[in-house]
Amino acid sequence: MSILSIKHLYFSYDDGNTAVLKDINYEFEKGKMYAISGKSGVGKTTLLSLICGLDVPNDGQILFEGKDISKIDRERYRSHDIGVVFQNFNLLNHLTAMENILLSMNINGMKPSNPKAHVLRIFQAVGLDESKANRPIPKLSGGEQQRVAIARALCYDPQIILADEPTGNLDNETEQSIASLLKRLASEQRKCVIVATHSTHIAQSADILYSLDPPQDRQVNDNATPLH
Amino acid sequence: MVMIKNAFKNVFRFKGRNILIGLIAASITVTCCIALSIKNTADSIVQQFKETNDFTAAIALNKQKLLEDAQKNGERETDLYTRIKRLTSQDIEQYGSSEYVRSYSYSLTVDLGSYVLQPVSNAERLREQMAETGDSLVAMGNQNIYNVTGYNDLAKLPEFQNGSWQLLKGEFPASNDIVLKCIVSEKLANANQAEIGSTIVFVNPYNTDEQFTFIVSGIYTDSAQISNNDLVVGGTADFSDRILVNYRSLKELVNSSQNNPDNVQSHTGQTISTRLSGRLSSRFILYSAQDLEAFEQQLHDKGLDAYYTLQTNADELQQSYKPLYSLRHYAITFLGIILLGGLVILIILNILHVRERKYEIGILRAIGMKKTQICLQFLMELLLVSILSILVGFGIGVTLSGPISNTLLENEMTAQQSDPGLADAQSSDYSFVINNEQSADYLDGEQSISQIYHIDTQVDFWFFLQIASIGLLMVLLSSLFSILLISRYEPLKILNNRL
Repeated sequence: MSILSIKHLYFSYDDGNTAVLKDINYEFEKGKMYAISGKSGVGKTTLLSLICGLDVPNDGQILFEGKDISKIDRERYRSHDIGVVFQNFNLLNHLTAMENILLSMNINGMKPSNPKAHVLRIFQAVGLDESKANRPIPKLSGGEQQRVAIARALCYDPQIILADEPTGNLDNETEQSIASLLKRLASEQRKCVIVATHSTHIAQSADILYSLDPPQDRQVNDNATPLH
Repeated sequence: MVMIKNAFKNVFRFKGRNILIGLIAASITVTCCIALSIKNTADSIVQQFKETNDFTAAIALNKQKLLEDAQKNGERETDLYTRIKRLTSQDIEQYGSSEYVRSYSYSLTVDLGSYVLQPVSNAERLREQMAETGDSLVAMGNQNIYNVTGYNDLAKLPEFQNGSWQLLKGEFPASNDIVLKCIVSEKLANANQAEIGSTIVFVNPYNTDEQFTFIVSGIYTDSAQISNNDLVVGGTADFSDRILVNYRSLKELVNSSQNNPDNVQSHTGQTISTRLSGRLSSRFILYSAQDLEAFEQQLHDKGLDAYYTLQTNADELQQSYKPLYSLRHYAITFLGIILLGGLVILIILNILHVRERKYEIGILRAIGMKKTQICLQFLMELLLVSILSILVGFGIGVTLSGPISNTLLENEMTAQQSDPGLADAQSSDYSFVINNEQSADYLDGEQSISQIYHIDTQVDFWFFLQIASIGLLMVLLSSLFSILLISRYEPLKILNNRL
């Protein structure tokens, strides 16, 4: 049963002059990791933007649990149902790692009995040391910032994780680590993880690979294994 | 709670900008304090002033109309005057029963001489001045001339009712008493060692064979400042020299006066009868200045001749609180300018601030924060700064409002006093004699109108509420544009532009 469906999606820029996505039809299920690949400029980020409701398609539907997301409260959708990991992290630099997560929890409306303990558990899950929790974002490394971004996306336990080039700015080792983390989120926590990437590491660890390069096809990776 | 906590953090994060906003808000608050306290105090004083100073009207001859009609008809105004239906005390009593009239009084003023009674004023100077006026009489001798005024009800005069004058000793002459009893001022009594029961002999200034003996029945003191512009023919210049009697006895005195066959020639050569003449004056205290027109119409409907009109003390009242109104006007105008200017500056600062935090807004929207939440966050930050600034500004403003108000008032009073138009407005006495009757054409100048030289600015809880409301309104208005800007931001565009 698909948690997210994309049906006959069309999107173009410049008032229809530049077609980016044409008749996209994808299905996404819980417990699987999906990689959306393609050359630069093919529309990966655009597709993710459409999926998380930051933009509106010219035609077609994006259905979350059977409901068209263009007809629901998209701010609530982004703060409750999906967690977004941006390519350049998009963390609030004037806050600490802990405060970034607490803010996201506040937007969601979560009120755990011990918020800080909850955040530290998430940090542990994403492999972030507790000592980094109270550091301002600029004082964290790229990999650490990316883990904070992932932690922010996970803090309210969304059903879908969207990650746009999560390893784009990271070294190989960190890249593998992040890929492994995303894989575990899908397999162990039953999340639907959708990653837009041109990284082979991510593509290899994904269960299903969607390619936006022509011909647009879907490949099932039967041999997908998490990288440690 | 989280919003307030975040707001505090952000206030300190942008210290420089918030200090600037705080200074502007405090300055606006100081100005508001000063301007509003002046306005409120001025309104309160003027209201009080109007309540304690009566709006008074008196029936007076419309000389302008008389002269114009006489010229039109090719006759002398004195001839036309003889055809006018004269005002009588019965008429005044009828008019006094009007629904527009709170109280009324009328009086008859006669000039009598005395060889014995010494005036408080400088009689010598007075005689010289009187000798220069038209129709003044030459046969004065060494007598001092006094205004003897008879009122319909002395005790009910507003000056005695409101405490400006007080009867120190004795009693008022009864209204219907025909015995010549009088009350005199304390100054006059002291100058002449007069006591209750003392007698004063007055003479007809034009016919000294006619003598009248008055008994002093009371001595009063007057604390009000009096305008000395009622220099009438034959009258003394100091109000303390006035002799107050009842109307009936004075009317009887005038009626009993005879014409001496040896008529006295005036300076102009005109023959004038020696028979005593009186000037009938009326004073109506109206409930409201707005009733004036209706009251005047009512008088004419009741038979008042068309050549009579109503004179009021409206100009004098207005002159007294004009400086205050001017001050109030300046304060409000200045306040308006400051508020407008301050608002524009605050709007610009807020817009710049929102633009500076555009990326932050983009991220917050991208992770699911609603537009309204973001707007409230910004508003909260602005409120925190503004509330503190309003409190500080209020303290400074309240401290400064008193000294500044009084300095401005002093300047306004100085400008007012040097206005040449004011002297003309205050000079209103003008009368002429026709067949022994002097026209009642001036406002009986006994009512004093005090000037305002100092104000104590009033500050109370409602005043603080006014200031706080203005301050908060400014905050809300200045944040409107920035809120509009926030709501127009598209998170995707912001984040893409940052890449």
